[in-house]
Amino acid sequence: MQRLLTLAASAVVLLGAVQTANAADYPTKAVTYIIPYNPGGESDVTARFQEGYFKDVAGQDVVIQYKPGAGGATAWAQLNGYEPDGYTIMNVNFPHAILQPSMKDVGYQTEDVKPAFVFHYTPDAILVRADSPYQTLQDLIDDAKANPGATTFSGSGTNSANHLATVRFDQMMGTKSTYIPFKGSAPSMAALLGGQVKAAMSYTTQGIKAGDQVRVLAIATEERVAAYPDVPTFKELGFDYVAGAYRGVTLPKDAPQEVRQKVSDIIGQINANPDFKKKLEENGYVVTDIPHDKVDQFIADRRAEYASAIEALKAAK
Amino acid sequence: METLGNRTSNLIAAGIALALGAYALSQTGEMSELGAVFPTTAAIVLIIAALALALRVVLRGGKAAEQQSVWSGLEWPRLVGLSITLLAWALLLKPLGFMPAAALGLLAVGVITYRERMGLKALALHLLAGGALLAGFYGLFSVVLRVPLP
Amino acid sequence: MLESLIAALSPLNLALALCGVLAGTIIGALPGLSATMAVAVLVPFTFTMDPASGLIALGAVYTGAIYGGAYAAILVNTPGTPAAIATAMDGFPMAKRGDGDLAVTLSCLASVVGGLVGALALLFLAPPLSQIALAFGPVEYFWLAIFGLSLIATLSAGHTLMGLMGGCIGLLLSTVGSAVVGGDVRYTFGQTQLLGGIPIIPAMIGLYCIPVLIDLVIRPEAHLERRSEQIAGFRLIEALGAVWRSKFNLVRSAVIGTAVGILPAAGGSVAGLVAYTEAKRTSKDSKQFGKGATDGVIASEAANSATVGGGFIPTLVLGIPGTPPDAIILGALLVQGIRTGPQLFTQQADIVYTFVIGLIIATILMLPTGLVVGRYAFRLIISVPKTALAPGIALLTVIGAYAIEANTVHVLMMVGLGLVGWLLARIGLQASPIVLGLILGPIAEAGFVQAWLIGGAQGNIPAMFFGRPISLAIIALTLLTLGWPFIVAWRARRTAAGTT
Repeated sequence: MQRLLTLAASAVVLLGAVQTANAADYPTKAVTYIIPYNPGGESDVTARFQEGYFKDVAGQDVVIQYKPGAGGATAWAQLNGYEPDGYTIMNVNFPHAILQPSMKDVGYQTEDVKPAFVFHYTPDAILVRADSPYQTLQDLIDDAKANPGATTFSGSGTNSANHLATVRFDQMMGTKSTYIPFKGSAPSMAALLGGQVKAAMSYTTQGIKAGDQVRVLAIATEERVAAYPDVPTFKELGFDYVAGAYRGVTLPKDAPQEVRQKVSDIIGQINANPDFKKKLEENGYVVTDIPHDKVDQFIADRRAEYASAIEALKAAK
Repeated sequence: METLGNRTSNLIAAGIALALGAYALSQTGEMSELGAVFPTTAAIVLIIAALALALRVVLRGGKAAEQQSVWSGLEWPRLVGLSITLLAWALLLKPLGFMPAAALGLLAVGVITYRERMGLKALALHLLAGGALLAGFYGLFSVVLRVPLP
Repeated sequence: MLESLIAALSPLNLALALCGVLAGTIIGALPGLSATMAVAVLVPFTFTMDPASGLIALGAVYTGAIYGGAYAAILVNTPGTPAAIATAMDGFPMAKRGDGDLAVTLSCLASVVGGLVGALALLFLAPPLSQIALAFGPVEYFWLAIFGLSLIATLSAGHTLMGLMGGCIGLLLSTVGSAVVGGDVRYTFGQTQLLGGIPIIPAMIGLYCIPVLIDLVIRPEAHLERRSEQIAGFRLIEALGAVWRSKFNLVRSAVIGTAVGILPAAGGSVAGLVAYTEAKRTSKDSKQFGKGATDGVIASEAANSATVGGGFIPTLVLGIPGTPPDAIILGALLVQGIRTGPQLFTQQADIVYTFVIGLIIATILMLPTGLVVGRYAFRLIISVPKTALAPGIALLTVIGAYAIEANTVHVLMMVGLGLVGWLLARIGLQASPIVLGLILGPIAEAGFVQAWLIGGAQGNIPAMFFGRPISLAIIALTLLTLGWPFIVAWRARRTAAGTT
């Protein structure tokens, strides 16, 4: 009996020792990866892609969990309630994480959810149904100018990337369009396909998903996207517009620097994997590498980029 | 076609509905135009329904004498005990952790439900079953479903 | 298609179908564990399988889970998944009067038939049906949600005002949090936890299950009893007889379920509700509904199982998920490199057909698994003494409310709503109208605001709301359902007057 007890006690101690996370050995157990949206969206799909490579790079599994609500705000507001040991990481999106706190009190500030690594973005793209009368972007702009307010863009969420893109579109083109928010990209695309709206302010990823049912009028990237070799960029058409929804991985802000650096390294390594890159690019994602030390600059740049649009949104309220 | 239940119950229900509707309405001032439409409509319908119900009770009278009051025959101690146990369980999940809170909760609910005399053997079986249930669910959730339990 | 049939019958796929249905049924039976969760957990495992097998596994779990929700609905009056809400309405009263085993068997049979109808629609009619799904715009969803809300009135016949109040309370609860359209933050009392609104699963568990738990504890009688003394038997013959008598209802409900399943964002709960109300409206014995009418259980279960097959139609053809589990499956397909869209049915037809046939097989397998699991579930609930049953149910509610998002605040919400719900039920405000308001509110509101914005952009808001054929049909259906009791009463008075 005595021996049994000692054995049991040692086992418990051993287990405890193994469980204790040490920053130098991070990660020593599975990491929980929280997605602040419903499954099936871009954040989820890219996380699933990462899941496949995480074990090889980091040596541990990643467990994906969903915490949808308020366009991501619910999860981001709760980020800093988790243990800052690096075993809970969360997906974070820009412009959402800048826009939301600017527009109202959502329980967090942009600094609270600073990412460790921003690993891709989905470029803004204007999609129309295959049988739409708009053949080029100019057709759309002309129609919008001729009929102010009549051009309807469907998009996902309010104070989201799609919403912001529509506002910036109006500012750039001098038009007045109507943004129709939907609860997610899927209903937004359904509305487009069903002819309920004239166009969708969406991403290249949604365009690829919809295949031949839609045409892309323009994409907001520096150069033409491989998946859409025939589609012009906004730049080519004369508009200096390179934007989209950037997604990154963040940790609670009190997480130690070494852990943050490690997470940044892991995600960076996954990003460097050519198979991973190929998968993302095939589906319309653009891989970027904004590691831990470049993140502050990234956020500052984005803030500057969105500033006038945020003013416009606030004025419209 | 309205079969009225107990008079007091109906009045209480109407009262609560009225209060809720009034509160909801009061908050709509801060909302944007489109954002206020739904709450306002729902609140107004709620208030109208509450008033209609109250009016009906006052005018037609309910079967006050026929039906037993819904508040009689209640075992208050068990009710209060259960409510407190459930609330405590919810609140203690984070501080105590899943297993301890659940173990305490299971025990508490069992004790509150206890009626007839139970032999020692039955008691042992209960405790064993409780332990097995706890272990089983812990396994199911943290291992199979990979849900992080507190 | 023949190769697909053979592929679907491979030992691996058969095993996946069987295990999937079994696991799904058990998970779906536990309140709080939804089909979405079950499917989400399984996804990583499917990456190692070939696409068709992975799909079969996911589809089988999904089917089982939707069906499994009926167990908790019947035995503990708590829908295991929102799809089973309408099942509880008659399933639980049946259980209370001793016919719980009959109800379980009935739901099994109805689910199998419903699932088959949905799967067959997927197999043969997917492309045309998906076009119908697209024709449903925000306005149509708005009117559909209004129709659903009007069903609350029908269901609370005799207590219409109470039902109306309950529904409105549910609507108000649904507005808590950050609005999708407009971004207003409403009724959150400054709590960030409430930004996402009141989550439906904890609310459902609280409002339905806690009152049952309370009654269990404070009343001396046994929870459920068995009417007949034969412990053996599933009352299968009896159930088959009931199903045969109700065959028209069965098929109609399955069709309704498929149709509603096609609409993204509608879901199993709406399907069950609509089928249930239609069954009640056309029944010769509508007073029985709510007190344990077998037709009610049949209608609800057939409809919600049909949404599985129906939901895959927009998912596979349009790339737009019909229900939340479909969204996960869509994501899984994408990761596997499968592109959805019309070309899926032409270029990769073998995968699709193997999957659908596998789904059909899984649905058929639901019959034996459902009957066996149901029998043991029923026996368990009956024979376990209350001192063990009550703690067990309490544990389930706590876990169920916690599990979806690993959030202890949800457990608190569940308990809070549950206690309040018990009090409200005592004074006549039942849980179902509130829950229905909570579910349908967001659909109605989103539809309304979107339709308003689009109509405004087109310069003609009234035409938007009242000028579209499908909307008009739904409005007509709503008026018919609301007016039906009056029509019936008027007719009865006429015949009574005529005979005197």
